[in-house]
Amino acid sequence: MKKQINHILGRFRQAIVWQLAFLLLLLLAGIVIAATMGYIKVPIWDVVVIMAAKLSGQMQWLSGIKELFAVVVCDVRLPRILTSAIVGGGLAVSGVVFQGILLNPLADPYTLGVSAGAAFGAALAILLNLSLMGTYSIPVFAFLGAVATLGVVLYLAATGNSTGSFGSTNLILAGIIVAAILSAAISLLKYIADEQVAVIIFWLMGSFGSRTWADVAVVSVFSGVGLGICLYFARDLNLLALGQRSAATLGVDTRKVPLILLVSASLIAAAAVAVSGIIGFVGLLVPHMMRGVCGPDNRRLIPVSFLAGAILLLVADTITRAVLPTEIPIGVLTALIGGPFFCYVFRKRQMLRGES
Amino acid sequence: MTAAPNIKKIDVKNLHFAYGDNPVIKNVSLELFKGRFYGIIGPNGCGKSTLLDLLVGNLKPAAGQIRINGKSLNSYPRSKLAREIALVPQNFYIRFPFSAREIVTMGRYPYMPRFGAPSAHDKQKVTDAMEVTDTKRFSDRLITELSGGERQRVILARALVQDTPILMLDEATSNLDIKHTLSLLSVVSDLVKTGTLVMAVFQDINLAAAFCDDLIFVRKGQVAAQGPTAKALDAKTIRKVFNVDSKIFFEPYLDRQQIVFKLPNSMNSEFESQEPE
Repeated sequence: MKKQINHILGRFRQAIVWQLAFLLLLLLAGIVIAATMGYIKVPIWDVVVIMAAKLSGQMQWLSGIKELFAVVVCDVRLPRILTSAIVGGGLAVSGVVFQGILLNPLADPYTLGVSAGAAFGAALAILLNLSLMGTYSIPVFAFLGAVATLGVVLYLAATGNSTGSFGSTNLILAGIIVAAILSAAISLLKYIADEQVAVIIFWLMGSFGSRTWADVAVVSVFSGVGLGICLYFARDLNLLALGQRSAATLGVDTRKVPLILLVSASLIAAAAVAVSGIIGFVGLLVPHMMRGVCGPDNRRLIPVSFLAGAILLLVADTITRAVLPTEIPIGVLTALIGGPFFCYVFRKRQMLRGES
Repeated sequence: MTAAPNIKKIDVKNLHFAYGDNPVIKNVSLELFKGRFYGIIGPNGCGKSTLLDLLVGNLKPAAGQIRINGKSLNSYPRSKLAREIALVPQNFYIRFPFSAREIVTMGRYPYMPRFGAPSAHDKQKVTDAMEVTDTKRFSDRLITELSGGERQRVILARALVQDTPILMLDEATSNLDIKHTLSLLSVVSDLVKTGTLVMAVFQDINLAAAFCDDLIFVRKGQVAAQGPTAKALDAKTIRKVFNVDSKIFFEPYLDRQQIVFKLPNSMNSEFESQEPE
């Protein structure tokens, strides 16, 4: 009997390894296939050779390949593909953390007003036609807007008593209030903006168009470090699901850990929004779906969600970039696909609940 | 019954705590010993749960001292405290679909490396605790699908695997039927015999009288009376703390004192003065 239990547990542990390996393979395949697609078709083998050559530094491998292909794959497609994948993964992890801390399955990376803050920052930069930092002024302003908003929301939600912890209701309320103010301010900016209004609107809808390796670097750093921090505290996030009182008696510093996780998750989302505009539903949907696949244990859920989010956004961006006759803003596409899908899952679950 | 050697585990001196301007704990001093079962009794809103939160370090006192094993509570890192004190809170519900076994295993986290899997010893502890709490039958069911009483027992199992010398129960039997209430309390009593210090908040005074070695009566944030159950339980104290009349008698069936209550006949002006804040 005991042997059997151990066997099952062992297989379960292996299952997570297989899940991760499968998703990683799928992601790599997705990256390669996406790189072949577009206005100029690049043979899949050429993509593999180009990537291998660039990664290993063996430039002589490129001799048999058209120079144009190498430029298209490396300088045009890969930055965009990688940015979309990393942003997708980052938003999904951010969503897992927000849902875990706020104990609310409806929370997403934008619950604390990160998106509204970023949108306000970007709109301001566009309106004032700021170019002090060249092409980076809009993302930098968006990021600063997101971080400032996060600061205000945390300040509003912090309680005065000696526990110093954040109640999830307080956080959600503070997020809603601040986001409402900011969205009014954005409307005002749009109203003043005149001919610039189109630029603001397009930015808000999100896009991975003409991303560079610099964008890849920015989102990699934030998502990478953020993912590391979230994985480190994944176990504490499990304990927080028991409520703050129990988590505290199981060794979680309920003052620091939720704050660290909220800030990390928000910074991942802020960097993602700054680089690609506002992309909804990934951070809400992926954690939900993956919880159904690998269970709610955050030590599994976080890495699995990262890979699944990366695949999802990579696929969505490739569809809008290379499959559709004209490019649709990625934020619109994710909402158009994700929204109905969410309704379907939600409805199905309600039906199941009714039967039992 | 034989009391374990009198080793002082918890020492509380002149404890004060307030939510804002509203004092909740006023000048509480307690000495609590290893191997004893303490029952905390008092009306709603008298500060019982706050007292437990202070003792487990979830709240920081405004003034006064708490010492565990002679060392100040503040000097314990959280991770170490998790091996000293376990808490079973009241009203428990969990939003995410963990299995019952996963929840119980969380009680072993303080002993497991951050990225490690549970050892054979950890797994054995989990299995034992689930056996004792009668939760093994639904170890693979989701916590979100269990009834209140089943969930409460899972949470007790989680606290048991924490393997701490001090166990705190905050109305841990509030959702349980009588059979599971008695078996939970007898599990806890067995722990007491092996030297665990148990502190439990009770609503049911007869239950407390049947199981506890000592009773601590709390009224308006202060200790109104404390002592061995047979002595502490008296009609005057009950009158003072709850403002009801009572009769205390020895019940040979339990070999313990029990109590019956009646609303006082003249409860006009006094009732107002006894209203908890």
